[in-house]
Amino acid sequence: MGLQLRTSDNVLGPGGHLAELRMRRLRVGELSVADAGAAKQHLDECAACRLRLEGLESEERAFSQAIAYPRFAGGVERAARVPRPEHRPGRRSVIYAAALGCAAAAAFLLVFRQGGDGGTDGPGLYGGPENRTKGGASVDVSVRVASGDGRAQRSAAPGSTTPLAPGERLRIGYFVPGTRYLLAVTIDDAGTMSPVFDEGGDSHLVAATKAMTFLPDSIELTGAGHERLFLFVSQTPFPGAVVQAALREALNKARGDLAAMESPRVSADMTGHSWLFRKP
Amino acid sequence: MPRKSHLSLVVPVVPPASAQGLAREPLAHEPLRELYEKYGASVHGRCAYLLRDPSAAEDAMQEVFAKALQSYEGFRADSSPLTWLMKIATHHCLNVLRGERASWRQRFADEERRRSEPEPARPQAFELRHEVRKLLERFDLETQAAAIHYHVDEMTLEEVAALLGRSIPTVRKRLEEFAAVAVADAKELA
Repeated sequence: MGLQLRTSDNVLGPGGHLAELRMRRLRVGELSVADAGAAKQHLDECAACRLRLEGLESEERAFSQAIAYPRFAGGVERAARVPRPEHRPGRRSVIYAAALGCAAAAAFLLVFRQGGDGGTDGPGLYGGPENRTKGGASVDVSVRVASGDGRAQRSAAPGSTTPLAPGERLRIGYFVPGTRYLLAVTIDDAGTMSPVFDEGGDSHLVAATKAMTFLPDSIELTGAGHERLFLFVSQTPFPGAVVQAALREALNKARGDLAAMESPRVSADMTGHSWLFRKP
Repeated sequence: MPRKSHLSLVVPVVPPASAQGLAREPLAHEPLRELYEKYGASVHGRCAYLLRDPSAAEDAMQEVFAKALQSYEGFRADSSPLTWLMKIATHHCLNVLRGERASWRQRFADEERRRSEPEPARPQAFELRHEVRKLLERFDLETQAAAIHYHVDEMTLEEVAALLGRSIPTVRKRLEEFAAVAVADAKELA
């Protein structure tokens, strides 16, 4: 891998050979007559490319032997029968902004508790009585929304859909009386999950706080449609894979409708909180 | 703190009339057989390359073809259905990897451990793919996809940019960042 990038001026792959995808497209008859002719001429002259082509043919034989058509068809049919949320065109992303380098993010540090103006998550939707973790100690969480142009901030209400304007960012706050494990993940209405905190997808230990404390990064949800942000808090560590599997199940149960999706409760000492956003 | 992005390279897919409706309708088998015969090996190969687990690769491949069937007309109309499928497969597998339990740090540590083990002699192309895959976890999803389409599919810069719906300078920047890390890694090992 070098820093000299190939462009269309040299459409052959590295070393002047046929590019891998081009060779595969030749195999399935996707190349134009002219391109196919040029590719075949190159193959006639290039032993290395003929060898690679034989490798592709061998790969195809191995595939059909390993996975025969009935098995393939059955598997695809099963995959297609899993209720799938509506898949909207567009591109979505979760963008983290540097907390200290962004005035809007700094403004997020104004303390806001969910119980103060957003209300606590109800037990029916979030599975935990008044957001209290085991032991009776209060855990408060919040999500603040702010634009980058200094306009007034607002809090995201957990029980309704919060519309986002272009460029608006979210910041997740928490108040915990003792050490806790946090995990934040988003899921959009295409069913794509994006770990937010920690980035690797597992729960992350945070120290006790004396005031509302915000996670270090702000988040921008881009693309169209809706996206739900989940924040899980627990006294014990928990793997992200378990949470994601539970979220997937909850999404399927809600038939892909993020608004109807309930926050799963993965363990007894875990509380779940969520906010639904409509992206610009 | 560097600006990080996790871009999901979603391709327009014609949605089913409803999830329930889909469950009641049998799949059209002629298109499916054609998909299997023409594209099965390539898509499965991509999934196996990225996921490195035969069972996970087969599951992923099935998901990819299920998506292809749901948008069959649009898929057929694409100038290169194979390229379309490889993009879907790449995107799907990268998301699977991202959702895995182990953090990238853990997987990186695993890779470091594997690297210390003796490797049998491999062809050069295999080595390149291995190196690309090893570096993926250090980058955002968009860079990962760009690197795979560029280095593994051997597409040109313009082709990758068109496929990902990004500008050429953007893709160039992503690939240069990827290459810089690869070069630094190689120097470190030397």
